[in-house]
Amino acid sequence: MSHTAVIIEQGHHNVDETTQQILSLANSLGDETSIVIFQPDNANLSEKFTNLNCDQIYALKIDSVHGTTLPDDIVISSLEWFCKDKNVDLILITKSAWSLNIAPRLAFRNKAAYAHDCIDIKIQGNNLSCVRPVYGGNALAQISIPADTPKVATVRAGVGQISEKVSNKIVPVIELEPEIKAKDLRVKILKTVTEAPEGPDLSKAEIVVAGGRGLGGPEPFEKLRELARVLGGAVGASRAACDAGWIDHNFQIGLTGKTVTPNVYLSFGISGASQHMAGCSGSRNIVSINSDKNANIFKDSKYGVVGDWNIVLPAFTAAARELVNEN
Amino acid sequence: MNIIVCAKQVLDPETPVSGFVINEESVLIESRLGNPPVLNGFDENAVEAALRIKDANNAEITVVSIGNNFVMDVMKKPISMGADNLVLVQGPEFENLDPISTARALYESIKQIGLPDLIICGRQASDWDNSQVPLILAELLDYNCLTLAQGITLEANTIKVERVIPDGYQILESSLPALVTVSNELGEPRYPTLRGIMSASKKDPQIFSYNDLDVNLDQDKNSFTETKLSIPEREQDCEFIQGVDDEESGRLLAMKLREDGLI
Ligand SMILES: Cc1cc2nc3c(=O)[nH]c(=O)nc-3n(C[C@H](O)[C@H](O)[C@H](O)COP(=O)(O)OP(=O)(O)OC[C@H]3O[C@@H](n4cnc5c(N)ncnc54)[C@H](O)[C@@H]3O)c2cc1C
Repeated sequence: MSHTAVIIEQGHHNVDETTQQILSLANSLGDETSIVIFQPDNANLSEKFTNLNCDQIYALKIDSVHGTTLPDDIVISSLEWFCKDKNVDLILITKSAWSLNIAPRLAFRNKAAYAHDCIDIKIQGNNLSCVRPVYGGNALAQISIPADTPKVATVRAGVGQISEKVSNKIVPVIELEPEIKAKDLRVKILKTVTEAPEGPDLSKAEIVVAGGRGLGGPEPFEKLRELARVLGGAVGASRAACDAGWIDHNFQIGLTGKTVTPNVYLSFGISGASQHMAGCSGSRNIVSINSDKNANIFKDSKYGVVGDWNIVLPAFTAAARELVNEN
Repeated sequence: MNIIVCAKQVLDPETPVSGFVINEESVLIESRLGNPPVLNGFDENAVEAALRIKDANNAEITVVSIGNNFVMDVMKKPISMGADNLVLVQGPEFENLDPISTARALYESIKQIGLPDLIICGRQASDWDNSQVPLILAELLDYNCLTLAQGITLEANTIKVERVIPDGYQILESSLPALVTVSNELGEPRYPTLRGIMSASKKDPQIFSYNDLDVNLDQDKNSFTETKLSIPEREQDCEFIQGVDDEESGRLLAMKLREDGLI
């Protein structure tokens, strides 16, 4: 009997594709599968999760003094308590800017083996085999963890099949109050400031229009925004463009930025470094415009144009506008 | 105030894709091009963060690194940027350690150097991309842990960190001592100065070897039984759309995507 628990990021209130994918991965690995959510005081969040294919939902109730955005220390202490209380063998969490702060400390406290940013997880013999990109994605490491070792793994968004909801099954919701000691809270969150950019959410957009160092400055991103509006997509960027200050870091796609999984990923002036591709290789169709015919990004692209974006982009935008407006 | 920065020597991540090869024996990735290693980029950001504190306060910065086969020009870069001391914990025992062993070796080294008020680390190393060592180190030292900083401010015994989060930022606060991880959002690391380069050339690092540390690196080795490495193949079935000129190419591409129902 092995127990896998999928932790839903605190503050995430919707069952998205990523949640369904990680859940189906969990179901393929263990006998018993739980979903763990952080239940805010005022909302009955668990209802949204009840038609998913799992054995139970654990709703962790945390004292409201800790606020709506829980400090890492509180999240870690409550999950540490949960893993011990419920004898969890494997914790799965989507790799994100949130889980990055949680998973390593949780694993260490529970003497668990930790595999970060996995793109494949399966049972092999008695072991759990995890594949994770290393060296920015220039190599893959397959690590093997014995069955009797507790494990924590973060999983890259887009890995796993979308599981079917089972609406005829009533999944029990079990409320738990984790034991948290006052001294557990050491780093306080004084303020959280977020501002969603215009247009669709980058990590959920069906079309992403991304620009890199080849664009040469901030103004061309205005042209990308125009194209994004025409296509109903979101704008993204490479780290080089963000580091140059041409566009805010919130738009960075890649290993240390956002992971996107759109239907179409349109890139302009991006070379295709593996650290960039780590954030967009889950796109179904990559289309690239680059003046260098040997650019790496063409190796991952379905369609490519070898050319100068200064000419290609306006022509593409004008034609796309006509085509999209036709019907 | 005493600041320790943890830094790692890594294979240059800008090495062309074709340069990466697997050393089957050591289970390591190497460059077949023989290009020199570099200081991990996020660790340079960590040095920069420490130097900004030193710019405004009275601070002494010690850089600590665990590894083997150090290239002195690479490891002395923080000194030439303005850091004060360099401690190299070196030997074959420290080659390719897993994150827990690395954190344990750092923990023992830092205890010997003297516990600082603040430890600053890069968010992850560009070789194994594990992003674990700083967080485990904070657990071992029982230090307050503030991650993904794009800015650090200190006031008496309080540290405030501006943390990068998707679509915004957070302000975190704790008391010292603390460990902070930094991200590239912090800004470009400064260039070495002429004076810095001179003092780096005169400065000898303090060297620790395995026997100097009270550490048993095997005690956590139970986690992974084996690691296998491979180099991923990238597919190459790109269809190039080519008009008589770039303008036509752009137009043809739009028509192609429309035909496929992609836009
Ligand atoms: C640990 C680590 C983490 C990283 N994380 C990320 C990450 O999350 N995201 C990320 O993006 N990067 C990341 N990087 C950086 C990554 O390695 C690359 O340096 C970066 O992606 C390069 O960005 P780029 O493609 O825009 O720039 P470049 O590599 O400089 O490419 C610019 C491209 O533009 C083309 N070009 C130039 N002029 C024109 C023109 N007129 N028309 C058309 N094309 C033109 C060029 O041919 C070239 O291919 C990371 C690196 C490390 C070491």
